[in-house]
Amino acid sequence: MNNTARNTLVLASLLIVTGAVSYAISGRKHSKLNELKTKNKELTQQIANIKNMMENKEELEQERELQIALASQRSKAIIDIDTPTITYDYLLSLLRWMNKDIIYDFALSGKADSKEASQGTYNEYVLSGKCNYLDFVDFTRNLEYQRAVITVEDISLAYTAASNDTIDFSMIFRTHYQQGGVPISELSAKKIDKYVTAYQLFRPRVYETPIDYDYDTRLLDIDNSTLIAITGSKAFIRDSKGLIRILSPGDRVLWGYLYQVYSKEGKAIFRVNKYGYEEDQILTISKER
Amino acid sequence: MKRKPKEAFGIVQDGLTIRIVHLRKDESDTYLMGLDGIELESDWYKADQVIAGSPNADFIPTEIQNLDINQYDVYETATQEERESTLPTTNAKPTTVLLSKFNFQNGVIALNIHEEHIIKDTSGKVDKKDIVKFRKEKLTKLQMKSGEWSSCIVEAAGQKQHWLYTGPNMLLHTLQDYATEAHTKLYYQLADANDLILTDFFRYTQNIEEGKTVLLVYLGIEYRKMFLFQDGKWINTFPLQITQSRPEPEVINSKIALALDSAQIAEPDEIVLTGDWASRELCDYMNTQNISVQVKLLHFPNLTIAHTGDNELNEEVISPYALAIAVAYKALNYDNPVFSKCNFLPAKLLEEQKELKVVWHGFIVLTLIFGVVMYSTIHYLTLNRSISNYKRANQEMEFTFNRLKAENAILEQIRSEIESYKENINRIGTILQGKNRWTEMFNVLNTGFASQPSSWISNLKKADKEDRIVITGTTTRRENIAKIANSLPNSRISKVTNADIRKKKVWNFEMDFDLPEVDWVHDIENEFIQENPEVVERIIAKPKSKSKSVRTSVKPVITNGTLSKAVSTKSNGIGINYNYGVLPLINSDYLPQPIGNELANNRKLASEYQNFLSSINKVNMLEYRFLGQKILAKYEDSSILPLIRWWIAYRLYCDKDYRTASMYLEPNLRTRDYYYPYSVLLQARIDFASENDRFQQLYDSIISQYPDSDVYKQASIDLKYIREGVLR
Repeated sequence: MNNTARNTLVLASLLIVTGAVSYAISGRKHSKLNELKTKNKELTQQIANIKNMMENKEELEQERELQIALASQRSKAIIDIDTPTITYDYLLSLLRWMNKDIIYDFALSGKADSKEASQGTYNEYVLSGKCNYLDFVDFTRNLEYQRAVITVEDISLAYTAASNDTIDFSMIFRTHYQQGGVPISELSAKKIDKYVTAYQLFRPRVYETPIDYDYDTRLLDIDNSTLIAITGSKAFIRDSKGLIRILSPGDRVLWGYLYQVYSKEGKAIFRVNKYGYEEDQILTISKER
Repeated sequence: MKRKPKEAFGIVQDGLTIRIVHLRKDESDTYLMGLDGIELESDWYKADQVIAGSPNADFIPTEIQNLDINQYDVYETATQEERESTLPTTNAKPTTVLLSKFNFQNGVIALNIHEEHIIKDTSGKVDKKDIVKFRKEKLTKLQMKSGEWSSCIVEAAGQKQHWLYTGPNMLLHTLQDYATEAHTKLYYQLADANDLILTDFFRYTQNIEEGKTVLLVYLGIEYRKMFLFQDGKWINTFPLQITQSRPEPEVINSKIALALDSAQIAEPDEIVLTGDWASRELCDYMNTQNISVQVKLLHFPNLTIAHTGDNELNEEVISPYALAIAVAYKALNYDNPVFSKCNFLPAKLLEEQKELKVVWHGFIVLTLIFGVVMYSTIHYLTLNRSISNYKRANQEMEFTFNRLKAENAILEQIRSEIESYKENINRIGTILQGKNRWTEMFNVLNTGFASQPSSWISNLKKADKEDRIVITGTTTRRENIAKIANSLPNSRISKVTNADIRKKKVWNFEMDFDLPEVDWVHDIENEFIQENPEVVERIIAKPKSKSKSVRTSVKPVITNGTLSKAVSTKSNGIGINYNYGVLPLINSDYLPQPIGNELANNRKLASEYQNFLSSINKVNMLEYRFLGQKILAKYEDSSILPLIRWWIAYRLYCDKDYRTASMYLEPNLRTRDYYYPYSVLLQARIDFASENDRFQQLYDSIISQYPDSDVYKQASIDLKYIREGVLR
């Protein structure tokens, strides 16, 4: 091998080494540059994001204020903690706000079911008792519409013949609570805009026996009275005590009023509502009623 | 080989003498800078000096370690004073003393080869095959291996002839030995045969006229030859058989004449003498003997001879150095075409001396190296600059980022608080969804029965496993039963019986009905709006300059904003994996539009509707809801209420509040109006985002029931997105 060929080989080797070294250095530098580029890109993105976020600083602060306002002024709020004592006390508060008294039995029936995660944590209670239907409706309305988040799960109502407009009721409700909620002591009575038509839904309109209600003892009980005379449009009636009452059409009697007097026929017609519907009751001048 | 050297040292060995000449070339002038010589005790090349009986007795070993050159150095021609002035204090070898007088590093060295080691092939046999064959015949394996041989095609006497120099060159070895000893580097330019040195020099320096015959006679210590030139060309060579070591002029003259006679050559026009025994005395004698021939000493026309003190270096004095001058001359003018290109230096030495000789392929590689290095350097510098720039930029950005991060930490806290509040509010909606409908139920019942006063109920309870209420009651008028049933939502009479109470006919009935729907989210927000008008006004009157985008067009486009992609992959139960999440925005051409002339006829409503649409696209998460609620509460009988609910639900869907979105959308799905398919489409999207497999049924219903509609087109696009896993 001559000198020139050897030199060429040496130079070729040098070329290869130079190329390899250049490639390696270049590769390392490229790698470093790419790292820096990636980092640069990430930083740019992060800065853009953070600037974006910061652009809304004023809005965020205002929104926080609003959220606080919303939380404090919102019509509904989850309380921070619940025990049967707290709920029982809250129910009494409701009655106080309603200015009514409902007699009921109270019991804790269960706790939050973890399977129903969307419902969060709650305690479940049972109420049962007897009260006026409209009072119960009002009580339910307050339970549902006052600020504490209480959900009424079930209600059963039944007419009780014990007294008019009174119902037997049972109710299952849940008191929801969560950490960070509103202390129940901070909840005060709020005006409820939700109105319910007042109607005694359970009151029977037809009875087998006369309606038992507090009546004026001074009113004439025509069942135990006798028509003794008629003059013009007036009827002379003797009651069970022997007292004679003089009645004109329209005058009130027990269950009703005097409707009409027929002097020629010697009878007086009364309109009474004794069993839930209006009927005529006639007294005639005779020895027998 | 150096091209155009400025200085050359001609060193020749002839028998026992070694002579050195130092020439310097300055453009066209050549200066004789110095000359010197010594005489050896014995000839380096005499066979009797070599180990007797060796199979290579004719070959003197070339390896320096096998030679004891020092034994030959016994005498020097320099004067005693010169020796004392130049010799080192130790017993230096004479050759070393001689060589040390010259600063060889300034020039190149040219030397002669031993005449007896040149083997000449038959003239004309210069083919490659002949040359190789000749070499094989003449060179022993040892000689071949030593690498000191060399061959050359010489044009002598008008014919080409292959000259094979078998080596070794003892003079060269002496010089190499000296270089090693003196720790100096010598550059060997040329080693040439005496014949070629002389003939080349003669032709180069002597201006031989046309038609003239000139005989150059060299009379050396051992080397004695005649060269015949005709018309400037070397045409013949004749050895001079002079046996005397110091021949007399008569002997020389007669031997020349004898040689010419033997060669049957006519008398030349001119005889030029040179060499150790050439002198003016000899010239004069020969001139007297040959009247027709002009005899003269060789002169050196291009050589400027310096004067050295008393003795002028005239032609006679430097004549013994003619061979050394000639070889130095040739070294200085090697490029001149007159000089033959034979160089009998060992190829190995020549190669070793070549510092970097490259030819075309080398140049290509060099160019490539240069290119690679240049490219690499530029590339490296560019990369370095880029890296430096990026580093600097990154440092600045990191600084900025850290600063912004610190500033943003407080905003993160605010966001966290807002999220917490929102979560609470949303949880209330979630808890109350489908609950607390009893008050509304009592209201419906009371209202219904109040209009039919001779009816009452005796029992009320919730049906098992259903959100239905069962009531049993009594009425005195049988037609009341149907009227009551009609007043209750989705009611169903299950039983009617008659009975007598005190001869009065009554009808007992049993019926069940749905608990009425209550939109708690709507009610809560509506209540908030009504009770906190100043707060709502503050929300709506927020600075708008920083809002992301405010559009007042009829078709608001919810921007990407800061929403992040929430992706989860899940099998739908039949082996298909979906990338559940929020699909890309609905094409603006397929968004629901207000229908009818209501907006045209009610300018106030139109204005509020425009404000609402603008708020949909804002970052503010509450404004659009309050504005929407305001319209919902204010215009209860408006035909655009489903559209308002749709937009609120769509924005909530984009904000990934799927549950609230469904709550807002739910009333729309009860009535099959113009907005119904749009609501189904949005519900399908909500279902898909919340990983509810019902989405497929909803899309199928759109595809089958509303072909060629905008909703159908959007549903097709959505299904494509779902298949390809494209999400926002």
